[in-house]
Parts: sequence; C-alpha cells; structure tokens
Amino acid sequence: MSETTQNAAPPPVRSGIAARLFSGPHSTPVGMALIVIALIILFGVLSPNGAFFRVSNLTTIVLNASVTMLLAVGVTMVLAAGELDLSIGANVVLSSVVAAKTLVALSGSFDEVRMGEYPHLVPALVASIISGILTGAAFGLVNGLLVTRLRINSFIVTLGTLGIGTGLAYVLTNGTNVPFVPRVIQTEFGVKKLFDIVPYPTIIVLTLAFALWFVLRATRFGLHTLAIGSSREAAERAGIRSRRHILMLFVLVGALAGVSSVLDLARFATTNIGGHQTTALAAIAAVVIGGTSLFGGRATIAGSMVASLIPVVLGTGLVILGVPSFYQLIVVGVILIIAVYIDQQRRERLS
Amino acid sequence: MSIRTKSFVLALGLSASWASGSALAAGEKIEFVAGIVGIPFYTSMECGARDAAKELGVELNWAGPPQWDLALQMPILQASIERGPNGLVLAPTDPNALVGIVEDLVNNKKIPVVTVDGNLSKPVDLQNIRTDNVSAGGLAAEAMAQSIGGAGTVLVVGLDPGVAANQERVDGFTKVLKEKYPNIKVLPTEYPGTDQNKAAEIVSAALQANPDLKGIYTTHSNAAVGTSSAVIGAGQQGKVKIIAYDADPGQVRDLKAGVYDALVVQSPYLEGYNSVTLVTKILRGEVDPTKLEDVAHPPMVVATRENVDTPEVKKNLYVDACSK
Repeated sequence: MSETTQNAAPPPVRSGIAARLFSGPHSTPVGMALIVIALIILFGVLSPNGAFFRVSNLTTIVLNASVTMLLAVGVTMVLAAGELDLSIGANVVLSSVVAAKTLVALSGSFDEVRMGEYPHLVPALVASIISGILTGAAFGLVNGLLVTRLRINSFIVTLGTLGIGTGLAYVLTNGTNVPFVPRVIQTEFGVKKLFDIVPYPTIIVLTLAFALWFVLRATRFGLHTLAIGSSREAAERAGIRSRRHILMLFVLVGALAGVSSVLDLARFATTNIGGHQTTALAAIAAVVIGGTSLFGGRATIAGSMVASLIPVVLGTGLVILGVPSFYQLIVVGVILIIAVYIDQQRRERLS
Repeated sequence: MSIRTKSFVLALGLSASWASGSALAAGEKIEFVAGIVGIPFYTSMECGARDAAKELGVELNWAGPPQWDLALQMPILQASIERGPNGLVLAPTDPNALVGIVEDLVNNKKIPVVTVDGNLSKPVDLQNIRTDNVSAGGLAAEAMAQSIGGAGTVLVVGLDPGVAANQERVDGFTKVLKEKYPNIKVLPTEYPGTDQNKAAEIVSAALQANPDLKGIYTTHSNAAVGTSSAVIGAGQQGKVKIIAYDADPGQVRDLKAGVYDALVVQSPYLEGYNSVTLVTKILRGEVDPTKLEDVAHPPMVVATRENVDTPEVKKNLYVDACSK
C-alpha cells in the first residue's frame, strides 16, 4: 500500500451525525463479513449433521472470540491515532491476577476459601471487577505517560511494559495461576447465556464495541483521534492537544484490557498466566485485516470485530470437520492470506 | 597472564578447594536447580528436597527460573556451579542443551549430578528420577474407561507434539485404550499449547461435532482449565468426564466439586526427597554410582472423589508451601 492511498482516505468530515456514522471505509467490514459468512456456510454444509450451523455453536464461537474482539476494538482506537500497543496481553494477565487476588482475599477467610465457601462473595466481586479495570487503566496510563512525556516510540514502550507486566504478574503469583477463584462466576456468568442464546460476556463486549464505534465515527473525540493519526502536525496546528489525547487513548485501551481480564477470569474461574502471549499480535492482525491502517488515520471498528471472528470460525470449523491438529495451522494461514487477497481485489474494483 | 599471577591464582584455587574439603565434614553442599519455581508441583519437590537435606544434615541451596525456559535456567545453573557445590540436582529444561555441562561436571569436575523431572538425551547424569509418563498415561486410560463405563468416544487434549514428556502422556493413554478397550473410540489428539482460550475453543467444537463424546483427557493444567470451561459452558458437566493431570490445590478442590472425574498424580515430593538423598549417599560412598539404573520412576496414584481424602492419596497431593 503506497503513501498516497493512506492520504487519499481522510477522516470523514461531513456535517450531521447520521452522515458521519454511515460513511467511511465501508468496503472492508462488508467484504470481511461476506468472507466470514461464506466460511460459516462452507463449514455448515461440510460438517456432519450440520453441526456447525447449530445456534449453540455459533454463539460459542462469538464467546470464544470475545476477548480478542474487545482488545481489537481498543487497538483500533490506538492505531487510528497512529500509535501501537503490544502490551495488552500482559496487561490482561496482570489485571486478572489483581482481580483474582482481590476476589479470593475478600470473599472469605483463608480456610473458608479453601473449603470452597465464599461468605462475602458479592462485595468481593464488586471490588474485584473495579480493581481489575483500574489496574488495566493504570497500566495504560503508564504506557501513555511514557509515550507522551518521554516521547519514546509506542512500539518500544509497550514492548518494554509487555515484559514488565508479565514479570509483575509472575512476581505476584509465583508464576502459577491464582487458585480458589469461586467457580460460581464461571457457571453464573462466564459461560452462561441469556435466554440460552447470547453469552453474557458477549453482551458486554458488543455494548462496549458499539459505544466505541459511535465515539470513533460520530464524536469530536473520534474525529480528533483520526486527525492525529492522519497528521499529528496538522492536528496540532488545528488546535488539538495531541499528547493529552494520546494519553487518554492509552488509558482507554488499558481499561479495555482490564475489562477483558475480568471476562477471562469469569470464563476460566482462574487467571490465564500461561496464555495471552500472542494476544496482542492476534488483535493487531484482526485490526489490520479488518481494514484499519497500521499508520493511522483510517480505522474501522466493525472491520476489526468481524476479522476477530475469522481465526475462531476457522479453528472451530476445522475441529468439527476432524482436520488433524497440525494441518489446522496450515489451513488457517492459507485461508487468512486468501481472505485478505479477495477483500483487496474487491476494494480495488469498487474504487 | 604472567607466570607469577598464574601461580597465585593456582594457589588461591588450591586453598579454596582445601577449604571446601574441610566444609565437607560439616555437611555437604548440594545445589538444586529446579525447572521452574513457584508452581505447586515444584514447591512440593522443594519440600521433599528440604526434608531430605534436614534429615541427612546437608546444606541445600534451591534455585530455579520463573518460567520453564532454558535461556532463563542457564545463568542460574552457571551460578550454582560457581558456588562450588559437592553435588548437584538438576531439572533439565532441555534434553540436549545441558548434556555438555553435566558431562563436564560428572567426568572432569567429579561432581555427582542427579537429574529430576526432565531428562537428558544422553545419560551422562548418574541417575534420572522422573515420572513414568507412559505408565501415567495408561493410568489415565484406566481411570477414563472406568468413568465412562468402558465404551464411547473420548478426546485427548495435549500440549505440543514437540514436548516429549507430555507426548508420552498422550501415547501411554491411547496405547492402553487401543489394546484393552476396543469399545472406546479415540478422536485425533488436539494440541492447544499452553493457551486456555485455544483449549476451550477446541473442546467447544469437539462437543458440537461429537454428540456421543463421553470423556476428555487433558495432559496439563492449562488444557484442563480451558476444557472445563468449555464443558461447563456447553452444559455438559458430569456428562462429559474429564480426567486431568496433576493435583494442584485448586484442581483437588475442583475434583471434589465434580469438575474433574479423576486426577493423575505424580510424586514431586519423592522426586525432591529421593534425588537429594541419592546425591548425598553417593558423596558419602554409601551408593556406588556405577551400579545405578539410568532411570528411576517414583510411584504415582490416581485421585478420585472416593479416595482423595485417604492418607495414601492425600500425602501425594501438591502443596503451595511446605508444612512446618
């Protein structure tokens, strides 16, 4: 992609919220959605007894993609302003450790918790959720301060804090998952579905994603974000305080990592110390495949969300078809490249 | 380096070795380099090692990296060797990379080395004490057959085919089922790595594709966490039996709560206890290292809801901290 195409897609500057909401780089979210639908139909037809088409399967796919989706939405916001956050995976792990420790410490005495009894579950849960989100936001604040005050490139800053966050999580837990997290948060929320259809975590993810879609498309904050990503200098000349704005974006993506950590904790009833090593890459890949520019100025939250589904749709479909584990890796890579190629061709035809 | 400084260094070295020789009478110095520290499996091993050291009157230094990673273990091992121990217990994080160092210690420096948990690709150590993972996989297969009543479809969730010890857990399981239980169908093994999300995703899909799925065997704790989340989410808890490896305190709680049907329990305490005892006995001339078997396997148990509180099983469960 050349320099000119980046500059050729300026942020939508039109009057009226409605016009702004439904303008912008439509082709990629739509193209990606078509590809996902095509994959779903393909797997559905090929799967034994149409197992893939089952509603429970489709909603579980969305549940399994939900944390990546939420992080991808956050990354979209940061990338829109031309910055990068590689530390989100470490942030999720660290925040979930803090949330889990808070939950276990406050929900009962040491012996009660070991017996599986949690007399103060509700207040402990509230404190746990708040502490997880605050930890995530504080992590983001540190990233943002380092980027904006010390003027260090965000790629390097977040590579550094990625290690620091992971190390802190290990120090706090001795490198092992936090045990004795009440399983009720898993059975009553983490894997539970509203009307047996929509997983609760998915409702939260979709609500937040919709809110941020609105922010990016229709508010001054979103407009400033894209303006900074297009040209920092021009944005500053136009009176946008870019450093403060970027700081806020890092706090935002950090807070989203905090929310993800709480969802993760509920889903597994423990922390995920061994996981999230490739989460940042997966989220960034989804964002870029979905049509957001790696260099800022052009961003689509809907595209990021749809693209987050692709790896999970593929993973689930290939297991249902009984494709052996090693071949799955190859097939996922091949299909990903084909999908992006098809979408690119389609966009070139449209423009 | 001039001749004078050379001889000075030599004299220093001689006096140092003489000094360590006199320390030997007060209690041998043994270094224990763990594969990873903090997790209950290794904490239990540390408790065994410390108990043996106390009983035998030897000085034990316990160290290890925060992750199972050769690059992190190497400097710790080097520092331990620099401390000039009389004997060394090592949990090798890589079967090939550490052969040269151990060979040099045993053959040239005459420091006895016993390995635990992991093993070396060439038996240059005096003995390797570790779980017989193939047999453990077989025990898991027996537990599975019992849980699902000898017939049905089962899935194995492994780690990564490159990790030999974990692969043995898979192979031992499938071998016993194939030989003894023709009515149990085993699906192709899945490998989610250490990622709980990936394990949950795979198991969710397998539950959709196989309505007759009756049991899932997980070979490590991250796979067990992802698997249980997927099974509970599909409303299949209790219907799809989960047989998991290891017995961390949280896993034991979940066994009692019905999340797992059985746990395959290794003996980290004995690995620690036996390795320190063996090194000490070799140093004291009570054991002839040339007569040792290459590998020793401490016994294992399978914990179920019925037997988990019996003393025989209870003593094998892993701990977060040593009891005083």
